[in-house]
Amino acid sequence: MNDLPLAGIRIADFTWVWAGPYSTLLLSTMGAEVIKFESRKRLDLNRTIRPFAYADPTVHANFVEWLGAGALEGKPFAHGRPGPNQADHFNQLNMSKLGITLDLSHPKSRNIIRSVVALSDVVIENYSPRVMKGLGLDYDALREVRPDLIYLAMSGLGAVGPDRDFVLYGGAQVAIGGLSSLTGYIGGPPLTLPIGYGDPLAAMHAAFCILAALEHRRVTGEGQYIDMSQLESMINLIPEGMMEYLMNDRIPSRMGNRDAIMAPHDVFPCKGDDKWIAIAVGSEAEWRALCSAMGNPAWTGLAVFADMYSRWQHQDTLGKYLGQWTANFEAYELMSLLQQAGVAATPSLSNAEIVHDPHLWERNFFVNIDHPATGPGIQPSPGIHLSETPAHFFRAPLLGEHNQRVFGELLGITTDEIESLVEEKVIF
Amino acid sequence: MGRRALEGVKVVEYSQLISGPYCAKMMADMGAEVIKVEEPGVGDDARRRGPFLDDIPGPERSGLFLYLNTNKLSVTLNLKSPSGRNIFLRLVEDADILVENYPSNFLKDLQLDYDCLREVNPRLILTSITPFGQSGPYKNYRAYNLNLYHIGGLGYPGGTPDPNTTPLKAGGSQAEFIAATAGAVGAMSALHYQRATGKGQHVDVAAMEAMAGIYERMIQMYTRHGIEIRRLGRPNIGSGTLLPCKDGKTYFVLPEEAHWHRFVAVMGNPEWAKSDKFQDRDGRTRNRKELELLVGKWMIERTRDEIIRVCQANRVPFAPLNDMADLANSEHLAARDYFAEIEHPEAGLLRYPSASYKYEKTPWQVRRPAPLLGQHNEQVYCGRLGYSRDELTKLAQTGVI
Repeated sequence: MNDLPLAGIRIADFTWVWAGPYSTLLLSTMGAEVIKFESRKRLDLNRTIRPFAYADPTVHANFVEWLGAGALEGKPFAHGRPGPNQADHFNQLNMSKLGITLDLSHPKSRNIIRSVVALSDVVIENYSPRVMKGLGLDYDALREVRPDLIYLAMSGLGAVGPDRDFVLYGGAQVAIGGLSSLTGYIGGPPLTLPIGYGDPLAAMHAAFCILAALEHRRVTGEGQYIDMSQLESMINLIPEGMMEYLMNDRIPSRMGNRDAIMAPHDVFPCKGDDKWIAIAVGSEAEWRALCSAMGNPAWTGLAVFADMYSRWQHQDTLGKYLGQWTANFEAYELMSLLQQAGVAATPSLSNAEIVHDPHLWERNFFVNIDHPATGPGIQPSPGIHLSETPAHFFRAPLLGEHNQRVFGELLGITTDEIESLVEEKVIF
Repeated sequence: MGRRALEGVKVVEYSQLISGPYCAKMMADMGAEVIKVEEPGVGDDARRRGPFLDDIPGPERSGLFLYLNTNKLSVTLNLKSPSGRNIFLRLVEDADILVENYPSNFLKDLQLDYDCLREVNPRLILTSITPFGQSGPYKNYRAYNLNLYHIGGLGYPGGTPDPNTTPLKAGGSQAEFIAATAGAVGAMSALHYQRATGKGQHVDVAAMEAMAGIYERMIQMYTRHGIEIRRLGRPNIGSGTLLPCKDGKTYFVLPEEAHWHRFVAVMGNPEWAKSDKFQDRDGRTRNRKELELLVGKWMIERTRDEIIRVCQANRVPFAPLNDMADLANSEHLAARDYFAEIEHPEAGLLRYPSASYKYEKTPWQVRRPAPLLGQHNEQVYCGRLGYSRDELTKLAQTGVI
């Protein structure tokens, strides 16, 4: 059994929804003990949204049948709310963590929380800035019980600044962070992304920040408070656009799938129902490879395609020719053919195709997880492979599953006390 | 200047463009020493990518390069020459982390793959960030950001569900950046282990996996429910929409019941909002198009600032659609000192995005601007490795550096 790289690190996790939990997922799968604070009083949104998985195969089959082909437009995903332990997104994001329930607003919970924090290396939270202070669980309060505590406050816009109290959800990050303005077809309006992309990218930065703070603490013994802004993490990922404005006072235009200098560089149709391949040619050698793979059709010899500059200028025409050729092939088949010739070509994969992709399976990207409420299934992983200390995956916790382990074993609270805390809805 | 969080961490970077350089930048920004190894005469490819200062190309004028390589040292080195390879090994001998993003057989051909490097330095954490990783059927495939974005899953449902359009990537180079951050998390996790045990290892990140990893929710829609997210006639998977207002666009989203009720109040309780169609989340999702038309009529009469101000004041989670000018001129970002002025010997004084974190004890600092090509050859080769200036000249003349 391999060691885990973050063994011995304990994290008190007050995050919810996506950005925070994806961050602590990166750390939990690397072996940190992540104690996730939840409460029936206010369930993590991800425990309450659909679709849910059904362990009962009849129910599952009915659900899928009900969906049917074409039945999805405008319809909700599922009927009813079968329970907080059957929410797929929650179960994905919270693998390898311990789950406890505690009503943070109950006065009797405060000492319990402080006891957990006293035994923790890190606190992470992603509420808006005032919430933890209101609960008496801000950095100043908690460092009293753990002087070398690392406290990462992850919020939409940061803990300080005139807009710090903004409430942001879902894909808002992409709009407020400038990425939407850079995304769209040529001559078309700005568009959002298919996921709330701002969340996972901020999560990855937050995990890194915690690890850096742990290194500082290792050397100096010092913990510290970290104010992380999700908005700023997003801006950090768009320097091409941002520097264009900061250096040259120019707002960049939207370019669709195209590039500033490479051509062809776009998505082309393939055989089948709405199938596509992305092809990018970045050098003369790659262009010649593409021409050769196509069998050197006459059009590739046209003067307008003679060099990269000219190909870029005439990429509308080039795209039409190329698209006529690509349409004869299935996307995977074409990837194989073009890659063998030395051309960067990849299909534009749907979620289903990703699940069937042979490379991902070979790479152990999918892990098998069984779960009492949802049954066995495969889960995608964050895809960070360490050769000596690989990540470990176990299922997400049921609501309150580790109450006994944390309150009883870790904190030493007696069974009787735990029972009365449950009755009083402190443990709730 | 106070201590920085990663002071004492030694990183060698042998990488180009974005996926390796941003990973190393994350560490450099936190105070790790990053020695960036570049090809003599030519340097990192990013030096030839725009945007360029005043639209004039030049190896010290690329905004992308300047941003990604602030806080790093640069040396030039030709790893293909045996003498260059030996110098590289001397740099690596002393390093905690080596960040590289070359094709997996490239280092192997130079006898600089992990098996060789670990002999020289068993503590080394080799962090390889590549399109498809060190193994698997696509291991030797070529890919640019466009390819990785699309094979990673976000491209296909991106864009609009119009059969006359194509699946669409996001602006910029998101797949490269996501791979970089995954590499950084892997490297730092491995560093924690190295500090405890003295052992290094190989961190293997594939951009395709890092992208598919963040697409996890949609992947589960298929694994659990057999729902394929189709581009055309697809189910309503996005949670928000961009709706026009008088002077721009606002991101409109109502994830919780409470938000709907508050928003209705903000709009002054219009009659249409009382319709059964909109009374719960399901209904609002089913009748989304109509809802957006009605909300749109309210929005188009108001400026973006007015809408955001009144909505946020009432805890309705709408957001403005910002462009680069909005961000550069944002009062909020200015109050946070998010943009930093950095003086560069050739590019001059420019503003740059800084870091998204504020550490109480070890704040972000600029130790040095992005390096000129080979700027630190003398400092590193003479100062550290003990070459004389004469030897340095010979190394340059014979194409080793």
